[in-house]
Amino acid sequence: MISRLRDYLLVIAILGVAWQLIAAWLNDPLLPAPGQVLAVLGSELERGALLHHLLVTLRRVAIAFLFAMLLGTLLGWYMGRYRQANRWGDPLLVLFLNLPALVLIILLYVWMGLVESAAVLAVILNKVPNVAVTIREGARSLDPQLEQMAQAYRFNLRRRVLDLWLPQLFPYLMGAMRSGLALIWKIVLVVELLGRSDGIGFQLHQAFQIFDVAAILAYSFSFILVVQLIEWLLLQPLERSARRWQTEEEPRHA
Amino acid sequence: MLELKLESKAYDRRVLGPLEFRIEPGQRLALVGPSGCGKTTLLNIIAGLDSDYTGTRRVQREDLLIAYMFQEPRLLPWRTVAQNLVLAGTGEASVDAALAEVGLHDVAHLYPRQLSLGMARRVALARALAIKPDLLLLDEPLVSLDPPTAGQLRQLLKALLAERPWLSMVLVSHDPVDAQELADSWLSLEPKNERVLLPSEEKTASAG
Ligand SMILES: Nc1ncnc2c1ncn2[C@@H]1O[C@H](COP(=O)(O)OP(=O)(O)O)[C@@H](O)[C@H]1O
Ligand SMILES: [Mg+2]
Repeated sequence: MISRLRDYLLVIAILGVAWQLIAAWLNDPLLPAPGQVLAVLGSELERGALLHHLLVTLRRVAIAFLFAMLLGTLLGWYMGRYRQANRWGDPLLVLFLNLPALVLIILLYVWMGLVESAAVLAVILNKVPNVAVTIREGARSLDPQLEQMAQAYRFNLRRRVLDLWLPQLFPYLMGAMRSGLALIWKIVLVVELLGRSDGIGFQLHQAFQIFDVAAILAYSFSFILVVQLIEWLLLQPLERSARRWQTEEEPRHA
Repeated sequence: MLELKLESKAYDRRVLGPLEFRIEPGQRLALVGPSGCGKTTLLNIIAGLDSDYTGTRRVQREDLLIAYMFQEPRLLPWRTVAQNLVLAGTGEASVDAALAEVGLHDVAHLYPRQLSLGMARRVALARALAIKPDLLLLDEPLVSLDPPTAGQLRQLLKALLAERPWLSMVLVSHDPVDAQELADSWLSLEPKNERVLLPSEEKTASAG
């Protein structure tokens, strides 16, 4: 753990130094040095703007993430478990998987207006098919022997969900969450850029119009940091506690 | 108590049938046949887990409690031994007693992968008995164990069955010795279409 953190910091430091060297060598306002970006970060933080826009974006990410996971998991579950559901759902899934995110965003803005609900819905619809495909894979790989055992011992629905299905779906859920978080926040930025007047995406838009690269980097890094913190403080502890049964001391034989 | 008239059971090809028997309270029936002859398939039908066959299965009471000890232990690997027992219907308070009965101590907090096959089988047996069944189904309970371990488990099964004279049992095995030791009647499942009826079970089991 400690050595992982050390490697992580080492890579960041090397990248920082390389960046500093290139920036110094080019000496161009279009590639600001790390120090300049940090300065912008500090001043935006002081102004309160950074925190405000960060929270706005985070709120959109959280709502979209929650609903995309929920809907995608249900959809994937039914498609994995019931052949008929898969037959009906699969063409739709392929359609939505191949529909560019941008097209969905534009259409929803055109149809619903430049409103918050259109923005969040666009993100959800972009992510649901990915989650569904992952969970469908998981639902197909459930162990039929344990299924029989649960039937023989008359597990009720609650036990089936919590003790039989969720543990088997866990790696798939984890995968969907990881890729979900990464994808969703990127789409949220696009949605904000195109049709919202707050959030990181909106700020990036502003900075783009005056070619303020330092601001662009400052805002991007702040959100990358947030996503990284979510990974460290939420996803990884969750994963560790759920995988405890695999990592407990080595087998003991009598 | 339970009556099965099986005309035929087929996957891609016919596996079982015709075959007919009845299980009475306290009866110990063994079904013996070589690997692949359809023993597990038959137990699934008896247990009510598989209804995709032609024939009839009748149980005397709808709430007849059947405990099934599968060929593999089939414990939930992500739950501890104690949790596995509780999930199947054992009371929290009786977990230790249920484990002690099958000769296990200090394993309640372990995960199934920390157990040897012999221990996992015992846990599966404890789980089956803990729900206080009317009928116990055993699918090759001694297979893949080294001879001493198998011998111990056989003695344990004998003792536990002797303590519960009302409990009916259906055992399937490829090993006639298991059948002789644990059952009072037996039926031989031949891989071909003939089914041999042994004199010992004329009253209760018939094959046709
Ligand atoms: N789910 C299944 N689908 C197709 N064939 C099966 C299935 N389960 C078992 N069989 C076949 O049915 C036969 C009997 O299997 P099984 O009941 O497991 O035998 P046993 O328990 O006596 O070893 C075998 O030939 C096996 O290949
Ligand atoms: Mg078998």
